[in-house]
Amino acid sequence: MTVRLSMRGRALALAAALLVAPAAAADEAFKAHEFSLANGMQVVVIPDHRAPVVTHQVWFRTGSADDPRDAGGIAHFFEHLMFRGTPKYPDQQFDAVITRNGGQNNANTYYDRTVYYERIAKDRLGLMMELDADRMANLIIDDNTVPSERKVILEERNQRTDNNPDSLFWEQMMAALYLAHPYGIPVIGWRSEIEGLTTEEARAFYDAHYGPNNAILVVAGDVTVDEVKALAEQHYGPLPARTLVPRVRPQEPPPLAARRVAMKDPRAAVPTFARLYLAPSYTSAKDGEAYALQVMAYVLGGAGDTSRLGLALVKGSKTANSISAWYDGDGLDDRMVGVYGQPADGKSAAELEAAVDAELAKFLAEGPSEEELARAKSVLVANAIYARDSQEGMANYYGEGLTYGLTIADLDAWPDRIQAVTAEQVKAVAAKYLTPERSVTGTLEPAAAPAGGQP
Amino acid sequence: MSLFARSAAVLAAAFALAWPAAAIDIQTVKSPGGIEAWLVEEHGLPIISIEAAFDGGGRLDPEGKAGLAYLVSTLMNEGAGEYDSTAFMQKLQDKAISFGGSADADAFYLSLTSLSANKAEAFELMRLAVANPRFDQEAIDRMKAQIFAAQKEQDEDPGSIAGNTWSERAFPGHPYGRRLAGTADSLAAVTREDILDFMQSRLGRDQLKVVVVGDISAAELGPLLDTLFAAIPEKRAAADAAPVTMQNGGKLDIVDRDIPQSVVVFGAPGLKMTDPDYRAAQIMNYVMGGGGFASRMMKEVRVKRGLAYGIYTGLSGSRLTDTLTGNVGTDNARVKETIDIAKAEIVKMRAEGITDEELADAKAYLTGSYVLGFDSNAKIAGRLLGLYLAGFDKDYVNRRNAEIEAVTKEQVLAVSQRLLDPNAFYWVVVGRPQGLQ
Repeated sequence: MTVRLSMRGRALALAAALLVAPAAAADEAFKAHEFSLANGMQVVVIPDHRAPVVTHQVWFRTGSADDPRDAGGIAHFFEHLMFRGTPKYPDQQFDAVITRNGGQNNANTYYDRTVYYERIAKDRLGLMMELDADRMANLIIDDNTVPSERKVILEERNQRTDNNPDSLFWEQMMAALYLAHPYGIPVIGWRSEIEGLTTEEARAFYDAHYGPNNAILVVAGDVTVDEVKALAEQHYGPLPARTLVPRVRPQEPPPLAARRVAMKDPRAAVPTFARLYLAPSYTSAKDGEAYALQVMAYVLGGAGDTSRLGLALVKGSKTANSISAWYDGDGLDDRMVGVYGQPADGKSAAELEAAVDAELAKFLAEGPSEEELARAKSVLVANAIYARDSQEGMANYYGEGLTYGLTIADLDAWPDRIQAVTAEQVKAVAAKYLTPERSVTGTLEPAAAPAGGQP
Repeated sequence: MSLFARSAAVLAAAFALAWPAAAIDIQTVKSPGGIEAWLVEEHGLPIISIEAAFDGGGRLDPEGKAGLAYLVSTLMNEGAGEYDSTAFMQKLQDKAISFGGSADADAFYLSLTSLSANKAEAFELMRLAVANPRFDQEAIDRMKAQIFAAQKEQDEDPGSIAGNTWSERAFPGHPYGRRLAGTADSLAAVTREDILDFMQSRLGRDQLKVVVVGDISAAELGPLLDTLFAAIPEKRAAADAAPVTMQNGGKLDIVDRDIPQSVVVFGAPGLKMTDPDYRAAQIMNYVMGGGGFASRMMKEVRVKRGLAYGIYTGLSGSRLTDTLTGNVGTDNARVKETIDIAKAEIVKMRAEGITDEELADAKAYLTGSYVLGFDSNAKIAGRLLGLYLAGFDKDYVNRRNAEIEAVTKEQVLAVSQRLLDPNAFYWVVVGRPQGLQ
């Protein structure tokens, strides 16, 4: 029951992909196969016969960006409630049934999707489907569970965010990047909102989003497509479709002004510099821009000290102690390109900012070299092959991509599209998106506690 | 629903038969020069992984130079032979090869993953890094600066403060009480000569364990082992540290920090993975605090009372000592209540052991989930290397579930009485806890 709040480390989340193969045979291993149930539930099967286990996931096309405006944090809060019980499996028996069968399970919520998953021996797949179908239709949501779960979530927020100045800083950065879009609100919610979440709001959220027609079933592992089809029809097939609430989110107005976040916290051990640029996601991008942004971010800062920013600022001028850049294209609406670094000892965040801007200006003028481009593609495309080693990682790649509105064809074509990116395209997206008015610049510095102390 | 209606014991027996005897085939490969490796061939993916470990690691760091092993590990991909740091890294990226070092308190690791198509370049770069690492001063200074910054961040992170304080005071004066990456002073004291000496005195082929998984045959691996590790001295020269037992049992220390949630770390002496009572201890730990939502502590602390996001205990083995440790984060106002609950569970387990149902549930989970740790090349390599280092033979993975199955309730009670002396636990609380002395 985790919530994914991390911005860093997500750069390569979508870099896991299959190499395209023409006309995959019905059960070809390491390939994604897809069909739908009559009630609208989408199903993806990824055979991998190396070990007698399966990963079973149910993805819902809803996340914190679908929270009602007066109930921030409800998507994540509700995810916790999904474990509390149904008439058939009351009192948190859900977990007990799974562990008694040798399985592991959890769930997590992000801006645009929520996923519930189990990993278990392959002959328990039907049981997992029975459990997940049951809680999709028959969850108990009452005042016996909501108040104690609210306390758990406040402790989760303490642990992840309020005890950690870096997390608090990222919340502030995101809030500054998004004026209107709910990506500016933390997935877990602001503390004041969590404290006010109610049983009624949880019930309304369930009714609005948790139907089979809003879900994607992903099964990876030692199974065939036919086996999954029969079990899915048996367990999920009888669930009626729900009338879904349309996903209407406020969109960002055209960005007009560079913004700054200057945060001081006595617990910040070293100064930090961060820069975010509003940029399209894989879903919202047009004309292949997302692939060019992915390559651009790798060239700039995907390889640490050996990337362009690292060579110039860490190894070269020694302005930075470390620096990285990433592209986060995971979402329905516009996401971001980010740069994150620590100034070298004796240098200030302001000096690092000036040095980063000088390097970015150079990059905007000249674009990537052929060598940089080839190196970035080599690593990104190979990552798609390495990703096949993880059954769970493959399930995540397809499940997440599909909830964001991409198709299996899009996801399969990822390495080819990365390979096709040209230096001109990288230069063009850099010029278009790395502009001051699309940016938030942040510094986090060690300093005296602000008035009012800790939250 | 037929599966759930069956008893857990029946399910567990089915698992023990089904896995992993037929599913995982570990070969022992011996090189012409006498280096041994465990090999799992997997030709379904065009990937090769080599995981090598030298027993020793941070516990061999010289007095006053803690952090040496860790620093050297960060330098293993920072240049070799004619290639300086940038050139070496770019060679790796050009062929999408992943290679680097790492270290913990008990071992120094080298890890290589390559696509089969690029294996010749991958093996050569690894050989070069082992035989002729450059250790340029530029790279040493850069890695030191990055480690310094990470240490400063750790010094402010409540979880790190709790863990580091606990280790420092549980093992005073022993390498296990030092921070793996050292302190600002100890790292500053490390010179390039120390690093060169490390390669000669802290590594030895007699301490080497190698696990290889992926698209490679035994015939190809044998000679390759000699090529990769030829430059390593035959025997490790440095003397080992002394065995040690945890100190400060029965004490509770508070480290004051202005944070909303206190972080608690606690621990007592444990037992070796190879101890005859270890399986019983695993079951005890699962029921008490290791089993997530299946554990008594999680039910009491999180599910019933909403005191914490999670509470966990675990057995952890080091070469020279073993511990049973736990952790929890909870609101400053409710730390005492949470600690009291955890202590009550320790006392209860020691007095009563576990029920038949808990025994069956624990066995069902521990045996049934074992296979989940072997479903990818990366996981197989990591698991096997850990077992190899701990001194197990390669057939252990096929015996392990049967050993769990054989544990009785009486054995669990006996090991609880051996380990769960409430006065053996040392507690560290970081935060502003209320009501604790």
